[in-house]
Amino acid sequence: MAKSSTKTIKKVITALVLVALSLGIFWFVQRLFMPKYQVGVIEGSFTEEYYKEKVPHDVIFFGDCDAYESYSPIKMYEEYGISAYIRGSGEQYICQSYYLLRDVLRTETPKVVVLSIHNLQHDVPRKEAYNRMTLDGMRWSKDKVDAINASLTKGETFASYAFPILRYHDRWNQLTKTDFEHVFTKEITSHNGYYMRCDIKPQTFIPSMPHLISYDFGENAMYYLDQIRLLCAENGIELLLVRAPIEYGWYPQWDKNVEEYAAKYGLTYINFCDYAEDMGLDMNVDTYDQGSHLNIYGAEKLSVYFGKYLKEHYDLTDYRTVPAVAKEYEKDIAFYNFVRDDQLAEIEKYGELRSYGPKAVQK
Amino acid sequence: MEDIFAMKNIKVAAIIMSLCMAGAALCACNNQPEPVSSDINVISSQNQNQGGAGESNISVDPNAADNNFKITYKGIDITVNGELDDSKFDDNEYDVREQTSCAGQGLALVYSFKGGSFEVETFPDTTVVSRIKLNDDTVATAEGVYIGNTMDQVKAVYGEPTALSENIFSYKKGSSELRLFVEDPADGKVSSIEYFSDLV
Repeated sequence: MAKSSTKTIKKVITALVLVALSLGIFWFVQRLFMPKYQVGVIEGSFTEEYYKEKVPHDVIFFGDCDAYESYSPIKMYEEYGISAYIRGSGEQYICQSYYLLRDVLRTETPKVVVLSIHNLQHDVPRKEAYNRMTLDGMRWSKDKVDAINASLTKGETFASYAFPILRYHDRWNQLTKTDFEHVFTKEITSHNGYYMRCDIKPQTFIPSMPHLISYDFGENAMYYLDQIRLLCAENGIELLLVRAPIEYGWYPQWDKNVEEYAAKYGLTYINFCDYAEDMGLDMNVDTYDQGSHLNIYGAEKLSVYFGKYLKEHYDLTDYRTVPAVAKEYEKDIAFYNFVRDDQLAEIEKYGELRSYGPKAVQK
Repeated sequence: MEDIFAMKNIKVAAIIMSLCMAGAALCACNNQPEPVSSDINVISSQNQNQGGAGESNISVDPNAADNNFKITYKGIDITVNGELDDSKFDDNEYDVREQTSCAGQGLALVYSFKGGSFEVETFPDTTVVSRIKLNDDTVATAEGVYIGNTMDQVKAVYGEPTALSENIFSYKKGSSELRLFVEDPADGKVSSIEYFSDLV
């Protein structure tokens, strides 16, 4: 009888071990096939990098490239002791900003949420490529489920987010050394969510924008702006609406819409295009792609300017005086300086960036 | 007896592994026939060493030259959905700006001719013309309409337009569209002229 019982236990244990092993293999293969975003288009790493943070943040940004390429949290810390993080991602849609804010609130409550209103221009998500970059790295929760459901474009399925191998299985013949190196761990690619570029490509002219039939923002986009506003209010968070000092890709009518919304709900909207001169922005040197995005020089000018505003208008902690936080930031600053110096060395050597940027090659 | 048990374990292991792999493969195969956009391909086939900029699925409309709207500059046609060969122009005749997108997902070019009198934009990662915009009255459409004309003059050339709003009027031709904007409906004068591709 005892012998039979032992056999049964052995069988059960063996079966469990085999099931676990199978799941482990499945997980491994899935991880292997997923893009790692460690070289080239690193923006797909940004969402998950937030979860590695060890310090609290008083200020958290949300938005697309207007957010993650325009503000340098490290510079804000160095200048003012502000602990800030950018939860931005490539063409982050405003519904995703909302769910990422909910996601943040699971672990911390910032004093200020800065929403880059650039993403109001898209009423609904339009490209799976961007959805993937924002959502694949999001930690599983009800918010991720809701974010996926709110983001699915035509042809996308929820299952392919739950089991990404459904989407990425055809990468099997394109796997690189990077894929194998980063199956289990990934390196940090951003600087508190900031995407650094040190190259310079002057803005030559600002193309005119096509006329639109209507300049109203879409109902869906406005719905999520409302949700963000209400969520901030519920949690005692100050919501600040901003626009980076990028002239192209926006309409004065859209500014008017945001101004009216801000006035209606007692919010502050800062259009930094209006303050470009005050902050000393010079698009001959402060952009790396002819004016579509700021480089590190532009982002640092904006960060010094905006950091001062934040410090003066909100009760923010100077984390330089908090040893545990300052210790973490010292590492962040060292990494920031390392990447900056590495980029500058490349630019000096080759006249351009070779291992950074979307067309980067691995060193 | 223990050998038999060990054999059984190996069989069970083999069966579970096979089911697991078959399941994954089946899931993958189920996904195969779904239509995919170029963006999805960018993601799924992204080579980490090559970056993520994908190839556009836009190509030149073979009938563009005959069927679409065009403008002519210095004897060279610039046709919507046709190819823009900038080598046909002297370098000092235009300025060009690379129009990057978020996260390197495509690079369009915007050409500014005659000091900004008109602009030509291409689809990302192609030389296919997606948009032309006339900004002042020093340039005219191929049919002779220019900024400052009245809508009556426009109608005399192109016929009755489709009104998209009280101040936006549209004409379609092939895979292209011409839009005329009348900023002040009271004076009825065209204030902006734009061509768009229908391929988006």
